[in-house]
Amino acid sequence: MKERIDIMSELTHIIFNIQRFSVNDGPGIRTTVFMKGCMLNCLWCHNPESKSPRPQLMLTPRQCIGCGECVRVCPKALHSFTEDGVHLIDRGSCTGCGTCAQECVGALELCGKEMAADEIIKEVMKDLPFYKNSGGGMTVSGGDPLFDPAFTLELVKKAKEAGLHVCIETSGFSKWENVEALIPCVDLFLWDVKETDSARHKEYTGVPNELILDNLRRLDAAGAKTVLRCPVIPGYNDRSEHFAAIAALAESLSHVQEINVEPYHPLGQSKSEAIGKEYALAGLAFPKEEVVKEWIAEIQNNTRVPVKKA
Amino acid sequence: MPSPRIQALEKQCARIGQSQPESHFMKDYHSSALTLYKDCPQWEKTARAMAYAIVNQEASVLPGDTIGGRVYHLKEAPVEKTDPDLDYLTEARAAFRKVYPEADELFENQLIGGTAVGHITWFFDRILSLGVTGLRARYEEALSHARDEEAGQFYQGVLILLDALLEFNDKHIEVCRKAGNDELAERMARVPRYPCRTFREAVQSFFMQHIVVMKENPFGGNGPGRLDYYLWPYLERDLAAGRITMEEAREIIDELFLRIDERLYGRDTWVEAIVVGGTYPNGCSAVNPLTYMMVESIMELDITHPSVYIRLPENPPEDLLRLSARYMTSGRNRAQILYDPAVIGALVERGTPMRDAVEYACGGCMEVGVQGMTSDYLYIGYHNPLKMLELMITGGVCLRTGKKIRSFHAEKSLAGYDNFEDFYRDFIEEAGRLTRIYLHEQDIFSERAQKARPSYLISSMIDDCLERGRNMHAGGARYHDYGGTPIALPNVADCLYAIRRAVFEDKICTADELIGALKDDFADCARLQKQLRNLPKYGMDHAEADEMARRVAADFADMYLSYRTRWGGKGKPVILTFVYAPRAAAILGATADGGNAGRLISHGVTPQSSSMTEGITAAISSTGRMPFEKFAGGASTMWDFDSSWATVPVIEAVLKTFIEKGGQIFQGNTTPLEELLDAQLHPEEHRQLIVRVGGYSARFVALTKELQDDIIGRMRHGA
Repeated sequence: MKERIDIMSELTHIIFNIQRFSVNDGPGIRTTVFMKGCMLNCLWCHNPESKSPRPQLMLTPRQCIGCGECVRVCPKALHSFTEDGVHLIDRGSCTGCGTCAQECVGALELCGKEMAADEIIKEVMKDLPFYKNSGGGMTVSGGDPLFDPAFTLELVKKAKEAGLHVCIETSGFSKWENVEALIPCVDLFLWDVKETDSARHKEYTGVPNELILDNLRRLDAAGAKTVLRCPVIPGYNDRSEHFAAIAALAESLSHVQEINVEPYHPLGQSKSEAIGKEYALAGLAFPKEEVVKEWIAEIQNNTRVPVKKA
Repeated sequence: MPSPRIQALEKQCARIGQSQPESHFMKDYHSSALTLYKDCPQWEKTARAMAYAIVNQEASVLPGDTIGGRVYHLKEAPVEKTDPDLDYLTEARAAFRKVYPEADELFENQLIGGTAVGHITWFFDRILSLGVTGLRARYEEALSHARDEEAGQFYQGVLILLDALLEFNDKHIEVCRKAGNDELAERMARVPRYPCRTFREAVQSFFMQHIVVMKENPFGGNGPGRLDYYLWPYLERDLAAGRITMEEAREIIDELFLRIDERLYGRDTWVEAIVVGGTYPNGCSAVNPLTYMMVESIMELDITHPSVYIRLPENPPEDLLRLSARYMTSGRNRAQILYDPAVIGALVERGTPMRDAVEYACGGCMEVGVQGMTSDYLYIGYHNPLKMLELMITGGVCLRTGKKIRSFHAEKSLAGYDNFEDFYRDFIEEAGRLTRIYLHEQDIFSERAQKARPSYLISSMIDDCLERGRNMHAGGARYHDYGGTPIALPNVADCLYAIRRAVFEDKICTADELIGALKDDFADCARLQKQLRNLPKYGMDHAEADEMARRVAADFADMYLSYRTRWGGKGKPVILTFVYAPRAAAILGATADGGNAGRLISHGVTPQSSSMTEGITAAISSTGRMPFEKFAGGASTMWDFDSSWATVPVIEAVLKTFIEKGGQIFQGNTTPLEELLDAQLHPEEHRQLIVRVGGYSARFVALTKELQDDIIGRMRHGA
């Protein structure tokens, strides 16, 4: 028996954030576990640091005081400063060992920490009284939880054993078997509907949407509860046909609890820069409140499922 | 929406409130003492001069009033000559300075505070149930067999004041009749002279005694206390008899609240607290329909007085929790919620029997005291442990001025210690010495007040003044406690934890390096400053940092609780920050937790804003580790909420978890940050914006820039 437990707890995954007091990722007050690794590559990605499954070094130049400790401790001498004091990192050779981040006083941070499911559950359980009083619980997000379905399954099983309400936030782009296995341990799927037109879906996210929608239908047929999460990006998917298709999709299913409109926010930009990547939608601004209300109304006109801003 | 009549009264309240007539009360008090009663002994002179000033006030009744009595507090006519016999400050100050010649330095460095009076509640229900006549009879009876001369003098003083209350009341009856308001004239002829028979009479009787008691004791912080608790039996009877509807009762409460506000209009640091809900002596919930009505009323009125606070009994009814959450989100930042088991538990721990502890109320902001049993140094002010820690680190040198502060006893600086525990012990010992000086100061003032401010009227409604034959300062009050505030305890905890880790455990720096960095306000020490900032802090749900906060708070609480006042009461720690953050910041140097000189301190036991990086749930979990059982004077928490998520269900869940974790007092703001910033730029457009400052609520645009910035700078926990 002991041996089996050891084997069970051997599964780990790289986690980049465990965010307590999440009130926008499912019902009540929740803790959201952000896993690294994603199957998609969305232009508007809010969490660009989550795409790679490996730990990554993040640099916030504002926080750098130019003390040079990173230059001193890096085993591969990848840090340097220009004469103007600009902090450079040779990212190609960085293994994400994190030595520099440990010495740094705030500018360098290693994004991603290897954690076992038990460790995560221990952290999540800290807010149990808040879940109990608010109908909240744990949400697994990412990245994408289905990037590592075996680990996610173990995590949600343990969460259920601990009596937690569990949500999974996913793009749904995975083999059906992986989704199906989660059903008994997940109370609510926060299912991304990024684009209803498959060609556009591929253009914006790198993959077509047939598998995603097929999984959603099968999930619904199995009686699983879902919330459709719809990022709306001005100039990309703020089209009436898309809004109509979202409403029609919700109408065609039986267990959709809610449709969430997630208006574009440019918060991914600074994080892109921090990991040394270019941001595809640079310059795109927050949509205005009235515009968001119009989007919501447009979807709501064609469905009985409640549409809300997330 | 208030009724059209109440809306009209609301406008009238603002109009009269803003242009109050001048009061000659203090002038009359002193001039009559100097002339009419100059040959009386002091006990009698104070009584008769006070009675004269009360009776001599104008009786004013306006058309449409259904509650009689108008007195004002904002404009006092200048007093040309004061009678030294009535002066309770000058002589006491001199006496204090005689004992402590270093007083000025202690005050300037906030090592001790001054003294404030008031902050109590009294048993006005005695007048409701007995009438002034009935109460008077008890004192007549006591006078007939007074145990000594002093008792006899006290009883006579009370009788003089009770008669003055009636005489002032009776002046209104004629005025009412002349104005054709016979109904009010009838009511005022009946009460407060005789016991109340109806809810309307109870409200009238309450208000008349209230305004007169508040003239005798014109100190912000004195207040009605459990008004719903004492008024409900009258309303209940009227409802059962079909004499009144809930709508009619609501209109009476609305009018009452407007009249309370009119006297104090705009003077927001003057707090008259009504504490609704709570618990009966047998432990059952005392929540009644008036509890809800009073909260609903204040939520709809555009006034800052009275402060209406909710006492949640154990296992609070679901709808009261919901109302509390709604009060937080749409009560215009006036809500303050107290949790009975945590507050009562601390009072019992202090040594207050349960039957008394359940009767607690707030005098003013949140100073917890037992209604009608507590003397009036219940809140004296604050002193600054963070400054003490600064001096402990430097060996007594002020970081702001570079001067040696001799009244702070430190033999050596932090560099002279080779372990943390010795440093901590010496710090607590010196802080304890200073705290005892601070509390002794109150004994000296109380001794003077006993003669110069005998407070006969309010004492007549405080237990056990009648039995003991003494006014409340002279040992008449059952609990002769002094409540004071050691401010910035979360900051102190974070600094001590940083010192332990940085200097003694992790050896990030030496003590001398730390002292040098603090002296330079971290100029050229950016790395050390960041390292100090990066250490765990109270508020991150970090066991060690939280334990330090618990330890520091418990030790400071014990400094208070271990003091015995001149009548055997205790010192009571009252943990709040009120308007003190800018004042404290003005004298503080850089801090060992990485804070720059002049940084604003935390509020009550709420973690520092900069420490709450793990979210509000973590911060509340940390707060739950504070030794609330020791905070017999109450410990406040301030939670500023991001309006994007501050919905009723979320706040309800947060509040419920807060009280389950043993939290005592919950208050906060929900106004969007943008609105506050806009109000700074365009004050004329935000005249009605009310914010919770800390223990009280005020119109935002009337606050100083420093206090506005304090509120704007608080952590809002964006989700």
